[in-house]
Amino acid sequence: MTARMLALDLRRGPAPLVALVVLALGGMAALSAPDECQGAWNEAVLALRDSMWLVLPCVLAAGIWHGGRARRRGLDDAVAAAALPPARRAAVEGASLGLAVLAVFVVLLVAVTAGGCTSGALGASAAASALVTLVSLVAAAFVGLALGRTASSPMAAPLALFLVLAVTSVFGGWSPGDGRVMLILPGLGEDVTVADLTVRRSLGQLLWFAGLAVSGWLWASGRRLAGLAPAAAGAAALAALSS
Amino acid sequence: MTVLSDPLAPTSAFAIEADGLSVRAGRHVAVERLGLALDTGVHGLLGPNGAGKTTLIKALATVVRPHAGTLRLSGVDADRGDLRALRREIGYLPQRFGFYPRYTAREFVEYLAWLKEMPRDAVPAAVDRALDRVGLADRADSRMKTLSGGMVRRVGIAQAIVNDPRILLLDEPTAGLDPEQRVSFRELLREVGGDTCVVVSTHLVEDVAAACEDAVLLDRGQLVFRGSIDELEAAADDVGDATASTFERGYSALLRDHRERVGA
Repeated sequence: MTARMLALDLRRGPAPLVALVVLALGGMAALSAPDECQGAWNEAVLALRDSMWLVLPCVLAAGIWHGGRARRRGLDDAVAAAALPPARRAAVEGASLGLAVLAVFVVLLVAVTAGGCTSGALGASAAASALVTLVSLVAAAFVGLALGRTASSPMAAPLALFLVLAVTSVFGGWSPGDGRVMLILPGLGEDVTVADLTVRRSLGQLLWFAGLAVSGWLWASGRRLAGLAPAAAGAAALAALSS
Repeated sequence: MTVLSDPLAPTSAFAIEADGLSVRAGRHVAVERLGLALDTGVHGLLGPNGAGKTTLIKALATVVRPHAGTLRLSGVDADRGDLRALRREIGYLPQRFGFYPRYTAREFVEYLAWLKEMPRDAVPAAVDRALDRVGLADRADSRMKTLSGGMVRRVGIAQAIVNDPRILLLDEPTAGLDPEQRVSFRELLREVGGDTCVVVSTHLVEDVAAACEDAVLLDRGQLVFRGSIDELEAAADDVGDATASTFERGYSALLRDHRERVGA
């Protein structure tokens, strides 16, 4: 039944539209970075990660929109009276957006690859870096879902999109100190090169974004205090592994 | 069978049993020290705007918790019991019932059946049956956004009955229904009420008179009257609008008497 509801949410929810929008924006951003296309996987992955300044806010906004749907549509009382644990409903809604962005991610990766950006085998650092991008997108979906549960106004998603775009545009290339603080975002900033794509750093980021995704899911399920722990643990892992 | 609250029977098998129940709506106490016991049958919940009907229905649906007193639903304490199991036994049509416009009627009822944790294998047949009972079998595959207000309300009734609940709570179910649909709905109520405790909150005294076995009248959160439809009719006096039905005049007389008694 859950799988059927996931299919229904994928079909009738915002996932298809999100996938199209993210594909268009991400594709434009990734493919308009020819300087970084120098024939290696690392550069391809870097180009893809650089597009996150645009893609990530869109996924976050989609999550907010989806998360606020029940209250916005007047279904909050019916949902509040439901036997189904909120965590399962949140999992289905987050998974539908997660699957949509996963599909987009694969398409973007294929597009970058087909553009002649890559040659040779996919190395561990490039694979880890690609995985970071994917998990950051899933985290954005779940965090958006959590925010949408809290702020269901129709203005919440566009406002968040505007604010996050403004922040990532202004601070996207900012590298204060040794630049470690910017690892909380999947885009690595202008001064970052392929040499920075170490497996160790990517693992730190992976744990950070995974923690964020779990926190978003817990928060969207109504477990707000418990929801802080995975993000905090992910942040600690990121700090430890990026030193 | 329906009786007033029975303090000597705390573990009795009433579907709904409230004792000294108070429920808040925000900071305001909307239901105050209510004693009530309801079992199988169709019960009308009447009262003017602000009487506390919707807040009471929300408490019965476990959407809001009691502020004071006890509320037992199917023998389970609604404040401390296993709400998950209890909620599977409840059907609820909220006063404000929204929908997802891109879903078809069938998909939407199926979605709500999933929220009620119905067994997967039972869902398709139950959804079809529920839509058929509200006369929407031919529109099952229509998108929700293409349905009229009355049809949406009927989808709301279908989702409330899809799990064959032990307790069915309907808040203003006839809002938006045309006269023919209201007549069909009353028939459905009588049919469902044969083995279910149905509580129908409404402004329409005529609906209660036509479909309910008894009536509960609230005013400003307090119980004004609990009795049979005949007793409601018998309370009518000659004061007020002579064109009103005897049920409506009974309703008005009971409210007037209560307000005089409490000095409101």
